[in-house]
Amino acid sequence: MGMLAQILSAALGGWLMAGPGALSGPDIALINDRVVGPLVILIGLSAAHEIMRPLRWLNVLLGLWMLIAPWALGYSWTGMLNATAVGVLLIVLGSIRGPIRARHGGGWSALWKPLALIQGDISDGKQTT
Amino acid sequence: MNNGMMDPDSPPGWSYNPSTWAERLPDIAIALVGFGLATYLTLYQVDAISTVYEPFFGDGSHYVLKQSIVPRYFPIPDAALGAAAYLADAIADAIGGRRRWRTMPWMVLMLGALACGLAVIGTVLTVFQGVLAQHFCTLCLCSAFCSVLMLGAVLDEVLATLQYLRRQWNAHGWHGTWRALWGLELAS
Repeated sequence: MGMLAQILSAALGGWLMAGPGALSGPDIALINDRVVGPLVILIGLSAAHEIMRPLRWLNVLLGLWMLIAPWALGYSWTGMLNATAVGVLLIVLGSIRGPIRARHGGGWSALWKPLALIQGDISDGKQTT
Repeated sequence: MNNGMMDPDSPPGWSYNPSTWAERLPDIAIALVGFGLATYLTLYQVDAISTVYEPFFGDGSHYVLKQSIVPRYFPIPDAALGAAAYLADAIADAIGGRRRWRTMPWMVLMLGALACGLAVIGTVLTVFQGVLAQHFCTLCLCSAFCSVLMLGAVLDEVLATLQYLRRQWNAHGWHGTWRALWGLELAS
């Protein structure tokens, strides 16, 4: 579920790049979509991996931007509908964490929380339990 | 795949081993696909071939590869850089055994840096296509897509290595961590 949500986010990025909503509007809308689109794809496909799942919040931020952009930049009506729909979907999908099934030794936070490290002895690489 | 607790080569606290061939071969394959695409595009950029495969965007590929800002002002064909990076990526991913998160941290970190660089530059070039060139190039997009696919899969090995180096730092300080980085174990 979590991985699927991020892949769908990435697909939304592709939709933005194809630009159906911006084509009928001023150029700034097209440029905005073609900047946000590739970023959403990068973030979505990376966040699809369990270890990078926290990156999904960047897509939530981009979704918020897509809600603001029509007003800030001046989109046409169809462009605004498209941007708003994409923005809402990105926020919803980015909020889905999904199950994390694998264990990753405490994850990235283990790098700066010494007590969270599992089996932090110097005889490394060997399962001791 | 989640039998890592029975696998003595898994990093401590992991339910799988990110350095196994089963984990790495798909990434090596994607890197080789990226290498093939980038080499093909380089041939077009240096006029070794006269046409490039472009099923969707008409003269888009020609425009992006030959007439937009990057190919006109960059001293070497930029696709060649991508090809070199993908090849280095594939080689770096292929070297080392299933414990290399521990035995070759420097290799894993180098692979991570390459994968990050490829993904970031691929994304930047994709933005350039849409915004500066106002044309899209199908195979360039495919190549960028490869780099993004690879990134997440490579980073779990990087995390395992970084956790290992952090443990070495806890136990032995900078000197021990430096030795561990290059795969030199301490005697104790």
